Amino acid sequence: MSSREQDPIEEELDAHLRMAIEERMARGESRGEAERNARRELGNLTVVSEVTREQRRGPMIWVDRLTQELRVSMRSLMKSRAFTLGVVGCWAIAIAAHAAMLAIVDQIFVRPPAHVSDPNRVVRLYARFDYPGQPAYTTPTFSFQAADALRRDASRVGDFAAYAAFEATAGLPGGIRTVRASAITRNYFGVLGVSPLLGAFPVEGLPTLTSCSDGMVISHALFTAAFGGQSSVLGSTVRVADRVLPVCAVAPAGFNGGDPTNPEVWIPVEVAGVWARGANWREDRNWWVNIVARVHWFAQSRSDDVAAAAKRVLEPIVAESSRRGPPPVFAVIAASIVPGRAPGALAQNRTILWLGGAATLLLLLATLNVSTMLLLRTLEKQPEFALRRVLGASSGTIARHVGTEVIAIGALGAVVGLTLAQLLRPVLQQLLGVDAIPIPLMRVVAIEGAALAVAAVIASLPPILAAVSAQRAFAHRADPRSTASARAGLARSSLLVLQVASCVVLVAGALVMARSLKAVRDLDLGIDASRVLVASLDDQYAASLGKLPASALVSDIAAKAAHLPGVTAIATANRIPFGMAMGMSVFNEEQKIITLPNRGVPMHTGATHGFFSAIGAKVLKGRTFTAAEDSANARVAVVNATFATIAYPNAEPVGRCIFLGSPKYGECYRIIGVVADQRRFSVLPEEPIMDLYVPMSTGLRFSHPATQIILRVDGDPASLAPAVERIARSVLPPAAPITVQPLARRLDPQVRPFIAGTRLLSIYSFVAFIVATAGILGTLAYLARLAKRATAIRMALGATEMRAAMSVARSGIVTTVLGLVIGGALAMALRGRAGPLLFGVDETRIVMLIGQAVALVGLAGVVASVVPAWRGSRPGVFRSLNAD
Amino acid sequence: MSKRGDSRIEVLQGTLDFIVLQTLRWGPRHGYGMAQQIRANSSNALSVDTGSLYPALHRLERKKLIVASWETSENKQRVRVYRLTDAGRKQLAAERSKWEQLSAAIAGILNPPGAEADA
Repeated sequence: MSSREQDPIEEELDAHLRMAIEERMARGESRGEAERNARRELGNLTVVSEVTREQRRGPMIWVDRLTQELRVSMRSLMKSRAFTLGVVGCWAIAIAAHAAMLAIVDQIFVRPPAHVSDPNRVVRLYARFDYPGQPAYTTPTFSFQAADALRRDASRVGDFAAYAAFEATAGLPGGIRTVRASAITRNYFGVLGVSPLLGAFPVEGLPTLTSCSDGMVISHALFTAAFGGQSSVLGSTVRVADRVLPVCAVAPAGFNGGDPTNPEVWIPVEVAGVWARGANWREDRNWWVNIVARVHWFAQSRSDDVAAAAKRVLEPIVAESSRRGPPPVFAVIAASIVPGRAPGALAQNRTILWLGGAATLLLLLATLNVSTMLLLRTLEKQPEFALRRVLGASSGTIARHVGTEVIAIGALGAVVGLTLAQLLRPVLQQLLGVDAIPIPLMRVVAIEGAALAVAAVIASLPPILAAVSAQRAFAHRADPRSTASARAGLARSSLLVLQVASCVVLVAGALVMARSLKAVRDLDLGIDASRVLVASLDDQYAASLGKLPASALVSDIAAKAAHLPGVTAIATANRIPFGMAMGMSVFNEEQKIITLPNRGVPMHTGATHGFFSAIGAKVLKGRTFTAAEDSANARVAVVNATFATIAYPNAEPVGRCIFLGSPKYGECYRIIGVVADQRRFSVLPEEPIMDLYVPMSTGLRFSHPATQIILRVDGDPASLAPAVERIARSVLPPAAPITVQPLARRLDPQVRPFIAGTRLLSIYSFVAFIVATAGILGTLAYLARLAKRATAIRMALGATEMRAAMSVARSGIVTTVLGLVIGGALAMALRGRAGPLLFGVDETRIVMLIGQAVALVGLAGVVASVVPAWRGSRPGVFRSLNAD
Repeated sequence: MSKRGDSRIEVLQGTLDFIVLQTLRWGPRHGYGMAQQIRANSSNALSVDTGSLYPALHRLERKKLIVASWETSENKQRVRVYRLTDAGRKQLAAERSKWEQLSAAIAGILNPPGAEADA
C-alpha cells in the first residue's frame, strides 16, 4: 500500500516504529531483535490507531461508527433487494396508517387550538336543556345578552368572551368575495391569550395610539393570499358589507381559536352583530354566540366553578325566555377547548380512538412481521456471525451490526411511511369529518417517534439475540443454522402467534363494523332523504321579518325554484325532519287532551301540499294535503302512526275530529291521512312521538312562519343547491341568512362514524391479513427449505409426500391455531368495549363474526403452512440428499 | 511501559497533555522525537506509553492546542511534525501555573516549615 493510500494514523505509527527500529539497530541490536523490541514497546498497533482515531474525532466517533455500520448494512440490504423491498414496504404502510391516525388523535384529543396561551385555563361553555317530553339537547350557542351578563356578573371566576361565525362580503385587493368572518367581543383575543403577528388587537374602551376599536383582524392566510404578506396592510381599509373598516392586526399563522369554520376576519360584534344576526342580534331570544372563558388563576377556580357561576347568572334569562311553557332543566357545561373534549361528538371521537387502536395493532403486526423476516435472515447468516465471534468480534459488535440493519430498514420505512402519512391524513380527516387543518411534518415525527422507537426495539431484539447466540452454536461444532434455528424456534413461533392473533382482532373488528354500518344503512327513517334538498331561512331572522312577510318570501322562492329542471316535488314548511320541533296541545272529540305517556303532546308541522312527496314519507292510510287545502280555510290534518295508535287504539283515525290549541276554539280539524313515523333527531332508533301535520296556513296561525323550502330532485340534490341559492338571494334582502344543503347532509355526522370506522377498519384489516399471511408463508417456506434434508430422508424411508409435507406444515398449523385461540380470546374480551360504537349487532352476532374472522385467518394460515411444506416434499427434494 | 522493579515512572493521568505541550515549547517535534525527549529530559525517569502519546497528540490537535503537518525527517522519512499554537501556549501557561502551585503545596506538605529533617 503506498503512503498516499495508507491511513494517516497508521502511517504515523509506522514511521514511529521504523525510527525506533533504526535507533535500536544503531545501538547495536540485530534487525530481528530491534524489530521485536520496538513492536513490543509500541504495543498493539491496531488498538493504538483505533484509540487515536477515537480521540481525534472526539464525540463524533459514534457518528462515524454508525455511518460506517449503516454503509455496510445498506450495501448488504441492496444485495437482497426483494427482502429489503418487502420489509421496508411492510413497515412503511403500517407507519403511514399509524402516523396519519395518531396525528388525528393528537389533533382531536390532545392539542389545544394553536397560539392559545395556558389552554388548560380556557373553557368553552355549552348549555344543556331538558324540556319535559323531549329528548335533552346540548347547544354551544347563547344569546349575546347571556354573554354580556356573564362578563358583568361572573367576572369573579373568569373572563368571558363571545364569538360567532358568519359570512360577509368583503372588498379585498383581489376583488369582492365572501369571507368567513367571526363577530367577537373585544376581549376575545385577550381571553384566549393570543398575541398578534402584526399590529394590535381591538381592545375595550377608548382606542389608544397602538390599538383600534372598530377595526378588523385578518387571518395569516388572508394576509398572505390577499395582501401579499406586506406589513403595509396595517392601516389600510377594507369594505365589509356597508362599512369601511381599518385593518388593525394580523393573527398568527394557523390561529382559529378552535372555531372549525376557520375565520378569515374577526370584527367586533358591535359592528358585525347586525350582519351576522340581523337588527335583533342583542335580543335574548337570539341564541347565536359561542362563549369562551379564561378561568382566573388567583381565584383557584376550576371549570366546574365557571359552569356553576354561569348557571346562576343564566338561569333567570332561560326562565324568562321560556315563560310561555314549562321551564326546562337547565345546566351549563364548561368543557375544554380541545376539540375532542367537547360534548356531543362522542360517536365520532370513539371511532377515532378505536381506529387509533387498530392502527397501533397494525403497526405492531407489521413490526412482528419485520422482526420475523429479520430473524430468518439472521438465522441464514449465523455461520458468518459465529465466525466473526471466533475471530474476536464482541457480542456488542455483532448486536450493533444487526441493530444497525434494523435502524437502516426502520429509517427507510419511516421516511416512506411518514411521507405517505402526510398524503393520507387529509383523506382520513375528510372521511372522519374533522377539521382539515394541516399538521406539520415535525409534529407528526415527534408524535410517531416514540412508537417507532418501540417498534425498532421489538423488531431488533429477536434477530440480535439469534445473532449473539451464534458463537455457542459454533463452539459446539454443530451446524450453526440448525442449532440456532432450534434456539430461535420459540422466538419465531411467538412472533407468528402474535401476528395471527393481531390479525384475528383486526379482521373481527372490520367484520363487526361492516355489519354495524349495514344495520345503520338498513334503518327505516320513515322518509327518503337521499333526493331531498332543503333551503332554510334562519328562524330568528324570519321572526324579525314577521310571520306573513317571511312566509311570503319563502313561498316566492319556492314558486320560482319549482321551475328548475330536475325538481319533482316542492313544498314549504315551518320545520323539516331532523330539525327543531314544536309541541301543540291537541284534543279529541271528547275534548280530552291527547298525550303520549312520558313523551308529552304531539309535535306539529305546518306544510304545503307537496311536503309528503318531497320528503318521501310513506302514506299508510287516507291521503295527504291537496293544493286547494293550502288555503286558510282548510281544516284538515295528517297524523303519524304513533298518533293514530295512541288517540284511536281500536278505531279508524281517518275522518275523526281533533281540536288544536284548546277545545274552546271549537274548530274541528278532520284527520285525512296517516303517515309512517319519522325519526326526529337521530338516525338510530328513538322513542316514538306523536306527529301532527296541518296545512301551512293553519301552521301560521299557531306558530312559526314557513322558513323551509323542501325540494325533491332527480339526481344529486347538491348539484341543484347553487341554483336554488341564487333564486333565494334574488328574492331575499341582501345578506339574509339562508342555507341550502341536501337533507342527507344533516344525517352525515350521525352516519359518518359508522362509514369511516368500517372503511378504515376494512383497509387496516386487509393490510393486516396480507402481512400476517405473508409472515406465515415466508417462515414456513424457510422452515421447509431447512427441513429439506430431513424430508428427503423420510421419503427415502418410505413416507408418502403427504406425510412428509404434513410433518413440515405441522409447526405452521400449530402456530396458527395458537394465534387463532389468543386472537379470538382477545377479540371476545374487547367486544364489550366496542359496544357503544356499534349499532344493530347483538352479542350472538358479534360472537359469530369473531368466529368468521377466526375461520378466515385460520384458513389463510393453514394454506400458508401447507403450500411451502408441499412444495418442499416434491420429488426434487432428493437432490438435497444427492448433494450431501 | 514500566516493569516491576523498573525505576521509570509512568506519566500520571492528566499530566500527559501538559508534558506534551511543554515539550513542544522548545520547538516542533514528531511523536517519536517527543517520546525520546521526554525520556531524556526526565533522565529516563518518565516513560510515555506510545498507546497514550498518539491519542494525546490527536486529542490536542482536535482541541486546536497544537497543529501538525507532514514533513520529511533528516533520515528522509515522512513524519508528522507537531507545533504549539497560540491557544496551546496560553493553555500551557495556565497548566504550568497550576502545576507550580501544586508542586509548592506538595513540597510544603513534605517539608513543613520548622519541621525537623527526617531521620
